[in-house]
Amino acid sequence: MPAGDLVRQEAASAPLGQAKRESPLFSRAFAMAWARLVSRALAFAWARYAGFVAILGLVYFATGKASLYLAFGHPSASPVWPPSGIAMASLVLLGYRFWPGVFLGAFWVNATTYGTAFTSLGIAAGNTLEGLAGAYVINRFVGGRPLFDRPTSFVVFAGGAALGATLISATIGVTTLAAAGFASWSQYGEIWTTWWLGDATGALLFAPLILLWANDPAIRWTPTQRLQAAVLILGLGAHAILMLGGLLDPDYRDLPLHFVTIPFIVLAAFWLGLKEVALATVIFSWTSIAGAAGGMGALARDSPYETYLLLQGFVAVLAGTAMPLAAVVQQRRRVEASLREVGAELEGRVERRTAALARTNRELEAFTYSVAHDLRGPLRAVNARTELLRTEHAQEFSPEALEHLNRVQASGRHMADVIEALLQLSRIGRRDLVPQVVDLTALTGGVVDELRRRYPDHPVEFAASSDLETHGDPALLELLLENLLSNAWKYTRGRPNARVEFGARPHDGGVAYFVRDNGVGFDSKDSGRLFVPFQRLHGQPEYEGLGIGLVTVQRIVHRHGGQIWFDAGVDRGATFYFTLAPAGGR
Amino acid sequence: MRDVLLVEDSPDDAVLIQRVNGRGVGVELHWAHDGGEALKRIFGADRARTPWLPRMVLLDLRMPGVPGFDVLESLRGDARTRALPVVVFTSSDEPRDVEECRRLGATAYYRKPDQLDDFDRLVRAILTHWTRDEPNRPPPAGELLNGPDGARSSPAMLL
Repeated sequence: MPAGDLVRQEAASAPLGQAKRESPLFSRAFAMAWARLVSRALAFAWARYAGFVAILGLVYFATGKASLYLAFGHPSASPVWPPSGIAMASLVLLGYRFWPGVFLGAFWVNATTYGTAFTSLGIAAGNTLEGLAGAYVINRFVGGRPLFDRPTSFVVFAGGAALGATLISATIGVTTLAAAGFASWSQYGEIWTTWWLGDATGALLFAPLILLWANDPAIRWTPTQRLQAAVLILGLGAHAILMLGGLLDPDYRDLPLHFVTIPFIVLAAFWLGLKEVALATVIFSWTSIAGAAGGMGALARDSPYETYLLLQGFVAVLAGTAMPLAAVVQQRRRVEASLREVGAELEGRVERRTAALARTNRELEAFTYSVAHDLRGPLRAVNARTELLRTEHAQEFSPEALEHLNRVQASGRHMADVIEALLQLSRIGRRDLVPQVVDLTALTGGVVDELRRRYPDHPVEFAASSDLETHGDPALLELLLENLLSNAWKYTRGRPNARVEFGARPHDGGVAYFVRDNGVGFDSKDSGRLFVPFQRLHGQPEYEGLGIGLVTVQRIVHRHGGQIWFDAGVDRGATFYFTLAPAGGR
Repeated sequence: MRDVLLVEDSPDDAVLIQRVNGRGVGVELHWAHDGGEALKRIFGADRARTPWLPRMVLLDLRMPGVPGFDVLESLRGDARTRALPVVVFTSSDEPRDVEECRRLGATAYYRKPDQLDDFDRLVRAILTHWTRDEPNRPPPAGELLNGPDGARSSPAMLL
């Protein structure tokens, strides 16, 4: 729709009644129609473009004029030229095609300050090219999110945009002035240096400031950071009062007041973020320059040119120190945050896994429990009926059939034993530990007495270290020793000079206990089956047992947080080691 | 009449118990197949009526429907049946189950033996002991929880 139609439509829709009471130009309805018109017009790309160009030009002009108030050497040369930074940042944020805003603003400032329309055009051209070049450097080498967050990105920006691109403006501007006769060629070097460093410091201070705050305007301070910010604001205020308040005795005007800012800037870098540091740097720079203009501080010299140089150097050092430092701190903070996140994530995962594992274990134990119990009933029926057949109906069976019945009954007994062992094993897992001080040596004494009673025709020489005390569940530890010692008894049977030993030795910061025998031993390569329930290394007829003893021992050791291992060989005997506390000891 | 209420879901075990009874024990054995049936036998349809009181209840724990624990709890919760001897006779020797029965007030707790001769001997001893007219004889070995003399006999097989 052409713009003309729009205007006609808006005019037609304005209510007529109100026009009688109020002046038509200021009626509310008329104002609203205007607002609608403006907002609709802004929907057109060209109108938006023109609007932003105008705003950019206006801002450029206003800051340029304001900063000239700081100029105390030459009316058109300020020690810091913020418009350079504003131009670069704006062209990055809006796009290169908004350059006419820079051109118009620069022309306007110069035309109303010094020189002719011709010199102003030349200077404006230089300023525009500077802005474009600076924006290019930022886009190409610094841009992307997050901004300036690497220490090197500020260095690249300072070298390429702040110090590099500003060469263009200084050269074109000063040459134009000299050519038009507003500056003598003999002063060219001095004016050029002032110009260049003014633009450079302006870019150095203001481009990061605008880009950072435009990128993320929200302030997110923790309560601690609010306190720290208050300290900084106090420092900023005190510095401003010292530099500008005129309270200081004239004898102390030469104090290096500028350098008081450095600790505050460093603190800002550590406490707050990049954009706060950028802001604090700008404020400190302003108080420093304004103070020096009034003759305050060690940087104020008799020659304005010298003062400019010192101030520019100071501001460059301030920004060049603070920004990379803040970048490093910010980087570290981000790494810390992601580490914390990873840590929390890991912790959560471990917790979930542990809970799932515990649940699975409980379910498994409950399953074992109910299966074992449910198996007992039918097995009892099988065994009982077999027994009845064998005892009360024996005469009805042939000897061969009776032999079959005997085998059925033997298998039934074995199965009952297996169920019993399974239940005992699952009970170790489900049982609550009752840890207390346990005298293992005393426990072995009781176990060995019982073994000697059980195997009177198997003499074993037994030796135990005295007073081996530990912390654990006495009932389970007795079961553990019972299993290990009865294994040792079993596998030394028929060996001359059978010998079993119980002792302890230091291990991994704690104690490992061991049971050693000089029996038949076993091949270490069979050890994979050692801790598997109902797996037996030795043939059934030779050594009785279910193959559950070592599994029981292992469970008990694990319940105490310990480990079990062994050292064995065929005909070399076997030694089983175990610990009763997690590695590293309690 | 020496009435005994047998609460048992397994016909195999019920037959074995019946067999022992038929060989010289001679109590009047009433068989309930689960907890619900047992409670109906004792309390009838109307709870207000006087409950039927056998000499003892021989109670299995794991049964479909109403389990043994609930029967025990109901009997101990009613003043008229509180003194009724309830002997738990089950496959389980889990400390958890023993503890729970002790808490609920079982008179005694025995695990069913796996071997027939052990089974027969124990059933005979239980049926004889809790149905005899003079109650001051020591109960059969096993886990006696709340015996007539308040003492616990030596636990034969229970942890």
